[in-house]
Amino acid sequence: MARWGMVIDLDRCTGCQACVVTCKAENNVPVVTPREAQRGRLMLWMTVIPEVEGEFPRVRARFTPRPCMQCDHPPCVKVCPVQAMTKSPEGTVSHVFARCIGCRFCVQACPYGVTYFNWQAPTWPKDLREALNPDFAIRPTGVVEMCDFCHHRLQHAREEARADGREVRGEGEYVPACVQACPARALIFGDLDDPNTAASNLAHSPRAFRMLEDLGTSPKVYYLKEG
Amino acid sequence: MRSMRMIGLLLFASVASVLLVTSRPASGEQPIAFNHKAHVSKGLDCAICHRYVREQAFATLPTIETCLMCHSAKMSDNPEEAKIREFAKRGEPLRWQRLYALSPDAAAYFSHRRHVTLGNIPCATCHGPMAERTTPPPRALVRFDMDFCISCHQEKKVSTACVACHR
Ligand code: HEC
Ligand code: HEC
Ligand code: HEC
Ligand code: HEC
Ligand code: HEC
Repeated sequence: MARWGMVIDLDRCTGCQACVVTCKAENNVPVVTPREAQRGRLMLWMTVIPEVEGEFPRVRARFTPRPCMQCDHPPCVKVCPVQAMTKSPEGTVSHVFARCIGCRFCVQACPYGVTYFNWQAPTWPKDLREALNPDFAIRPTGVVEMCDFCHHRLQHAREEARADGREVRGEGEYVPACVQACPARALIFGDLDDPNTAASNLAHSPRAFRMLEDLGTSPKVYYLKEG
Repeated sequence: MRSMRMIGLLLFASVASVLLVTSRPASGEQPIAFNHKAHVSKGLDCAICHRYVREQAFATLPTIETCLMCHSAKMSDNPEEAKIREFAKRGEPLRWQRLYALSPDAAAYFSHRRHVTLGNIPCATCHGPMAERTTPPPRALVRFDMDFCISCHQEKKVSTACVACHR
């Protein structure tokens, strides 16, 4: 069985935010007003964290794309009192919105801050409203939401593979929207247990590290250090 | 205070009556009293009218163009059959009432192709004796809740992980 993971090459990321925009569109993530955003209610399942070093004219910007880390030992799943936060047999962490009671234990437990509580009824400007993705849920108010490696795309990929009488290939057939959109190819996705995928090779490279590795969460998102 | 309450009550009553008069036909009431048995017993394949049932997630309900393939000229004395051409003349689409729809809040993925084509499950297993109906059923013949899905998946050893269905 595949163990899906992502490798993020920090050397390649240009900070263009294509992944951020694509993720919002793909997953029907509501848009909030600037005022709400200032109150910390901006929801970005995928975001790019900028860091500026030095002073003009010797400045240098670092960009760190940050999806859900998809831990192998996910604290959010451990604390969920109603088992709405679940880890699939393939290891992907995902949330059953219909089951969520909005207690926000997972928001507290997640060391990466990737879980968001949606305080308000979702709203979109008219143009975006007409472009909602029918393949993914529109969340009710008062539940927690987060990146799940675009699991709905795996549901389709599985059906296609089944029609051909095989398993989903470890690379290429199923990719999250952000990976597909990245023009710099900084995001690489695939089966981490398949030695033939680029993702599993890069995850074993000496440049690879994971966020807050010493917490023991074992994320399935790997970063490649800048060279 | 008393009069405010009266005004509120009157307002409510008038709004309610307007809603009652203009509301859509009661659920289960179809624009034409379609007869499944008359068609299926003539050997018509379900996919003539439910066009994408084998290839895609949604089966779809037929448009008037599908009916007109056979009914553009009078075929019987049944007034329901004449309705097809009346609808066509007025340029009015057939708005069939859906009987089967999963709760949108659950956001579950269901694919007809996966079950009908790849899983070889007959329509009647899930939809009951639809092919035998001479009139449109007023409500779904089978109730789809999560147990309905899970119990068959358990029996057939198919995935019951939440993420297999929910999205
Ligand atoms: C000639 C066209 C035609 C054929 C052939 C046909 N149907 Fe239908 N079907 C309809 C129409 C029209 C409706 C909507 C009216 C109604 O419910 O009777 C419908 C409704 C249904 C519904 C209810 C869908 C919903 O959610 O409202 C099911 C289930 C169904 N058909 C199953 C079948 C099966 C199974 C077959 C083959 C054995 C079949 N149909 C063949 C025209 C057809
Ligand atoms: C495994 C169970 C299952 C089988 C087998 C099945 N259906 Fe369905 N059908 C469903 C479910 C569930 C829905 C509701 C889908 C939704 O809401 O997304 C549905 C909905 C429908 C509808 C409503 C309209 C639509 O676009 O989906 C029609 C028509 C229909 N089915 C026809 C058929 C026909 C014809 C067959 C056989 C060829 C068939 N179904 C076989 C479970 C089944
Ligand atoms: C492939 C050809 C075909 C298509 C498509 C078709 N029909 Fe028919 N229909 C027939 C035939 C043949 C009969 C006559 C059956 C009989 O006399 O027993 C009939 C009979 C009828 C009748 C009279 C049934 C009765 O109880 O006597 C109605 C109503 C009807 N059709 C409605 C529809 C509607 C609505 C559609 C579109 C959703 C449709 N048909 C699509 C072939 C078709
Ligand atoms: C009568 C039995 C039956 C019922 C009822 C049924 N299923 Fe299934 N389902 C199957 C079978 C068999 C398969 C595997 C098909 C194959 O061979 O690919 C399957 C596969 C699936 C898959 C793909 C699973 C995977 O691992 O990729 C999904 C999703 C699914 N069903 C959803 C549903 C939902 C939602 C419902 C309820 C509305 C439902 N099923 C009801 C028999 C059923
Ligand atoms: C085989 C497919 C399938 C699987 C597996 C599955 N569900 Fe569901 N679930 C459904 C369907 C279909 C519905 C909607 C039924 C309806 O329309 O009433 C549903 C409804 C629900 C609801 C009620 C939502 C509402 O508002 O009606 C909850 C809560 C839920 N599921 C939680 C879960 C959890 C938690 C798991 C994993 C332990 C799970 N489900 C596994 C298919 C599935």
